[in-house]
Amino acid sequence: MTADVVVAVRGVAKKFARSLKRSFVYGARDIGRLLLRRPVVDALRASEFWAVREVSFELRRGRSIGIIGQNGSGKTTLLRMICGILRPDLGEVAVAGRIAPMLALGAGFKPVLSGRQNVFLNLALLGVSERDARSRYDAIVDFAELHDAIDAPLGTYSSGMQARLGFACAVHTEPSILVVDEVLSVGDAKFRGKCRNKINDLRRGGTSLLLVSHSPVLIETLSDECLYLRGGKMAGFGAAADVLKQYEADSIQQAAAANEARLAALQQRDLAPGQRAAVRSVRLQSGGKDVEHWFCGRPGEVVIALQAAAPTEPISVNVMIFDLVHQAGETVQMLVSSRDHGWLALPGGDCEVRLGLPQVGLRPGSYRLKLSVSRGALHDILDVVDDVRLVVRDGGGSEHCAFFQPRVWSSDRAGVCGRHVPVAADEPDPAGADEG
Amino acid sequence: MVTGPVQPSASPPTPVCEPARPRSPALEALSLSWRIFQRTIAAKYRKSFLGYFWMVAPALLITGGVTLASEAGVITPGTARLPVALSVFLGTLLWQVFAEAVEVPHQAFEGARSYLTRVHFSRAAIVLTQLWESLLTTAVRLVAALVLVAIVTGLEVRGAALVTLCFVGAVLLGLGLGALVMPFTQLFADLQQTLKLLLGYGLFLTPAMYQPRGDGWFATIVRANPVSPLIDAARQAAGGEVLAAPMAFGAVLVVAVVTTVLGFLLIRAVAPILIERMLLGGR
Repeated sequence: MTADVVVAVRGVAKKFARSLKRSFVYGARDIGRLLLRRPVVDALRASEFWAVREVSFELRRGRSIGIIGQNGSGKTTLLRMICGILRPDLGEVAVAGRIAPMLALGAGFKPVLSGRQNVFLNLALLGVSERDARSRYDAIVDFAELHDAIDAPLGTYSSGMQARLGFACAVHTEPSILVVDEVLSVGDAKFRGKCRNKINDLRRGGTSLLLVSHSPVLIETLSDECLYLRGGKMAGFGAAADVLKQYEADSIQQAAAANEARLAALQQRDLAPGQRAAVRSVRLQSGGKDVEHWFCGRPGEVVIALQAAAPTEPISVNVMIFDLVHQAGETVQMLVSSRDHGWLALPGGDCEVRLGLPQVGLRPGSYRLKLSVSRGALHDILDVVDDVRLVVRDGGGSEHCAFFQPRVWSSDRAGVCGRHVPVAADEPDPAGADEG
Repeated sequence: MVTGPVQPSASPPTPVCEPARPRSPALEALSLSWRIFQRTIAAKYRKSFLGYFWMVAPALLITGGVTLASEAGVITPGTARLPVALSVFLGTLLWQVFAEAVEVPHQAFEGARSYLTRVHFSRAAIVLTQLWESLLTTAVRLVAALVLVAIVTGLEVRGAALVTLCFVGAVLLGLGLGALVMPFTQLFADLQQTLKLLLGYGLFLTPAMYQPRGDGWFATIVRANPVSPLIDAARQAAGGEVLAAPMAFGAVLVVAVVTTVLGFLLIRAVAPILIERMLLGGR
């Protein structure tokens, strides 16, 4: 490893067993092989799969790498191997310097101990000496803003307070490498800003950053390079903007392929005996044209083709949107025609219902749409179509936002002097940093 | 390069520290375990009003019961010079110390599950942390035993030293055996349940409460119990007698040290395999 490289990952692979019972049996066998000094089994055994395979990259001092990929693509497993929590089955990970693992904050926190005791306990686990822990204690309490509560048992803290204390401990370990797994959203907005500033301070001081996030915007903002994992393998590595484009294109392609298969299945089915109405197709459109994705902040439409055996009693068409990225599985929008527009009376035969969104408010990411047709005050379900995939891309103006907010800026006197971020006096020139 | 609306940081600069000197893994584990022990021991007894009493309560209860049974002629507690109650108390305490030490490695991994899967640190440190706790309770039991022996029969320095050695031997033997089986009790809950059962009823397979007569299979099991030489030696030492089986006593001490060393080496080697399984949500 050259002097400038702080993390070197070479041909790393990790396998897991899908069956829990087999995993424990394999564990016992692996222990046996270890004791008998026999080599580890490289090949997959029954029920095993590669969670990470053939991943290689280097992180240099002061640089940052963002890791992106769908759920289950091996991001967290890779970080755990880099942090030394898991041992690679193949390949090696070499680390130079202290890692601040922010995979989950507050490791070792005990609810019956006071915040003060927990700070010392956590720092001990993070490898900080007792003397250094004492010298950093005040800075940690100041950062976490827990002066009044620091002597109270941790069990009396809110989850936000615990996360603040955990974050404060992690960033005060003088790390050479920060390993962040989706934990930048800690506490309230003010504290999140403080966390961001602290990470920026550390990076200015030469700390390297490994960041796992589902958010392309966050990766692009904070990373010099990006590693894209797909099915545990490296699907791309390079300049963040280029790799993110590839990631988005892949996400869209996957969503489109899934939707095509779903659409074909919908069109093949007939109305079941006694079924009054059914969904025959679902299409995503923008500006009246079929599209494979929407842009955040721009128009989007869902076109639902319905079929009714005979004129129906009033029905409602309902669209539920689930976030697959930021809040996995959470319903982020539930749009109900009977509430927004009124109850619909379907004539017999085919009919199209359009849901138009003048400006898509969903932030960039992947979503699952569930459509249902219901009737009556209790919304008896007539038909349901689940798992329609939707990808929303950044259309500009959704950075750091939980949703797109249409807005207009104006000023009575101040003029606009440019769209590029001015370099502050205390920051290195970005061009110079790139050369390093 | 980080871009975006960055405001001046409100937090004071982190004090600059001298680079840590590299230490051996063993020293690292000892230091870390001691720091964790210091911080967590108070928490353990924070919810208890009777504190140290619970360390000797089971032995006291069993001693009371066995003494009554002995007076009724139901069981034969043996021929040691010590009074029956003290003899039973010593034997029961030693078994308790051994049995708790066997569970130390398993409990250490179970208790540290939440941070073993989040941070990389010396894995031996968590077993050592649990060991310090076990040694503390052993020390309390030893002091209680020595004080009682001194009050009842008087105690010489040689006797006190030998009784102490018996307690240390019981801790190490338990810890060593526990460390050797821990990887498997972590993987298979059935094994852990079996071990608990054996430790719970194992007291009846020691000479703690009675001396087996003759050469039957039960007597053979009791004599083959590795804790038996420690119990016998502790009683003889407390009663001022010469050790009847010094070779067996010495052998158990050697086995205790060897199993402890091997157990720690095993834990160090297999910890990553166990932690991987902890992440899968199993035992």
